[in-house]
Amino acid sequence: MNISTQRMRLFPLCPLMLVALLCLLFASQVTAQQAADAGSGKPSAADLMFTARHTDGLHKAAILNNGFYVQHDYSRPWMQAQSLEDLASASDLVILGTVQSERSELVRDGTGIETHYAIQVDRILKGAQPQGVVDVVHHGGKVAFDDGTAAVVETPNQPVLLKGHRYALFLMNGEGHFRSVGEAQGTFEVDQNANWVHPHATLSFDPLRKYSKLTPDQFIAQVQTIVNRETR
Amino acid sequence: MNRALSGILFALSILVPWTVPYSASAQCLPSSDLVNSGLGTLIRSGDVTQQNGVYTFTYASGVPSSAFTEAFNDWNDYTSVTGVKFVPAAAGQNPDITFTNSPGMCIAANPGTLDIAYDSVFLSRNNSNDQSTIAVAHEIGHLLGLQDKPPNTSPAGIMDQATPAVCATATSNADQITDSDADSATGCFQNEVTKCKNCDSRRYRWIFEDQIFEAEQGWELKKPWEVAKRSNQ
Repeated sequence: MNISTQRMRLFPLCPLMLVALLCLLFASQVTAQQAADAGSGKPSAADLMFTARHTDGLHKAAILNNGFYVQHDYSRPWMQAQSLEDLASASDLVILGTVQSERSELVRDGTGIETHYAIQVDRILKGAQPQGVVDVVHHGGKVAFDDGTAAVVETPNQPVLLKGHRYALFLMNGEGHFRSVGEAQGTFEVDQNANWVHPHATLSFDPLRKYSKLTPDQFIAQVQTIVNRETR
Repeated sequence: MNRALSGILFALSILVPWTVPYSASAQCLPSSDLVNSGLGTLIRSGDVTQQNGVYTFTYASGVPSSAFTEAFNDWNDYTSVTGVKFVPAAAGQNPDITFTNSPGMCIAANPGTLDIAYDSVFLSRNNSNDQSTIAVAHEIGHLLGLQDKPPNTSPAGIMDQATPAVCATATSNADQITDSDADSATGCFQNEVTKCKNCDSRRYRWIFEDQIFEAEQGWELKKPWEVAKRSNQ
């Protein structure tokens, strides 16, 4: 058998050999990366998750992760309001208000973060609130520790409230503060200048997203009508 | 003619598998959520390995109520389908899944940290009806990678949300985990396991003048954005 015949016989094996070579290269790269990670002392995502769930966990996770730790909180409540009527009937207080300030703090023995928003009440649509400012609490936020480290709990399903922006808020009583009914569902940004309403509900099929088609005046009038009908 | 017929068949072969399950089955969480999922993280880190085709995850043995145990057992009835089993953690063992008393949450799960949050209102309704177990089973569905479905869908599924938005009285039209739920969960869980199996979802972030900056490994600046301008759009 001459050399050219041998080459012809080996030819069909070439793609297989190429694939095998690529697999070897890929495996060696992954192994090298894992070795580099281990060598650099970088904590694994699982290590960080376990650390963050124990007392003072977010701080410890931030230290472990070179000074900064981000936790993603995708949680969303089991219940869903189907309409403004649902929201209003579940609310102790419905207001139009403007965010004055915010402060985040550690909760649950340092395993969670909550943000308190001071909301200047512009108008009360339902309920009674003796003072001009209400304390509305959302899950998530960012906290800087004394040693220069920091932790963030991101809540993609509950967008943050913005300082100076105006919102229609459907609220339920907590312990000395208020929380949004249905988390993001109970929050609508109302911008009179831009003439739009922005529901914070994040699910694509959320029925409350349809209210983005209303103007602020139409939206507020509709909420007031619903509340009046309910309290009559 | 033959070409037209084969074209139609080809189009149907692509469309049918996507459209039919979409209307009947639960969907998976968005892919960004799955990359950061806790179950996938535990598997990728080697903390949980497959034994006889089954991944076994532990949950905190101090369950807030019997509804939690019942819900895990209900999902365990589908272990042969999902390839996932839930067992209580042994004494002194760090559980994979935890429970947190979090005021105002009613009941909610965080697939990223493998935590199920509940509050006193939810506990006060416990055992009053099977809906408490349904609610916990719904949250476990999130841990497996399932997405919410609108309330009152037909046929009913465990991922249907409950109404009204009042923790004490909310009910779902689901009364059990269905075969369809288990099939969907299997697909979503496999996505969790395989997606990004050989990559590292960890990113580096830092704050500078009220902005968070994010970079992939190697410190190449990927995308800066202002925290204050974050929205759901």
